[in-house]
Amino acid sequence: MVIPVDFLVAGGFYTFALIAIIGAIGVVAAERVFHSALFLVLALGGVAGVFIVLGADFLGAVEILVYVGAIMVLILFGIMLTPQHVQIPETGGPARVVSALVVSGAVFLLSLAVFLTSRWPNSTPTPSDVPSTPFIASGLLYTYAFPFELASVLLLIAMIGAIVIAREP
Amino acid sequence: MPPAAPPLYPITLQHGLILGALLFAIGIVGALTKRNAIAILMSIELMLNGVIVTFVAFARHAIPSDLTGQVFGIFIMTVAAAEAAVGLAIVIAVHRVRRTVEVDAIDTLQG
Repeated sequence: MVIPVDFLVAGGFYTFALIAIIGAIGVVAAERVFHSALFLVLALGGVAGVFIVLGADFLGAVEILVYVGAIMVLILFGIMLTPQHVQIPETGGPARVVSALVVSGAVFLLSLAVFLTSRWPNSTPTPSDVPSTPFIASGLLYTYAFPFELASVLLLIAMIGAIVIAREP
Repeated sequence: MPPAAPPLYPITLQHGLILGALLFAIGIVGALTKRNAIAILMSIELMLNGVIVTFVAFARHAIPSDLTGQVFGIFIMTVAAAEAAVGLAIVIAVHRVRRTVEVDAIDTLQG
């Protein structure tokens, strides 16, 4: 018996989307900032899986390398280097939670209304087993070569800036 | 060559868009309620990931000929990495002076 590909795509999408959403809720709901960081690893891993299911295999690998590998280590170092002497509650008071929920719900419902009522160019998707790397390479090195160079300059500026800001004065 | 049959379990553009909007909305809740500056940075990373999911969904369904959305996803990751590096450097510098990373206590610049 052969499992159809679109069944695998749908099952993978729902599984990884559920993992990502559970991780995201955990980031927001966790009591301690260290637990938030661990939930963020879960959420980013789920997002990487969604990328791979949606045909963005290179982007999924970069997501794991850059986010889970580099940014999470940076965040964990930041948590370790800033110990709290007085334990404070992680989230603000109930008024702040309610207003944040209202704002976020409004944003979500507005975007949902736009997504479901607009007419999108819903063409047949590219098959997920075609490698995306050649397309990304031609995009980065031909069409978007100038933003690509700007991004490298931005990374250099951020690196020097982070060293200068965090250095012992 | 006959046209391909429509998929039985379609993952459409709207699925990706709704997932992106959900991640973005959850990130908004975290960014507005958290008191630890590093937790706020993590919530902002969540919001950026929601945006990348949206771009990837558009790259798969709207313009499948060239993957412009994925290229923009890489640019967003670049900016997110720069933002995390500089943001954590600022948090560490503030903690050195004020001995706290609670955003409610760091209000010297308020009007």
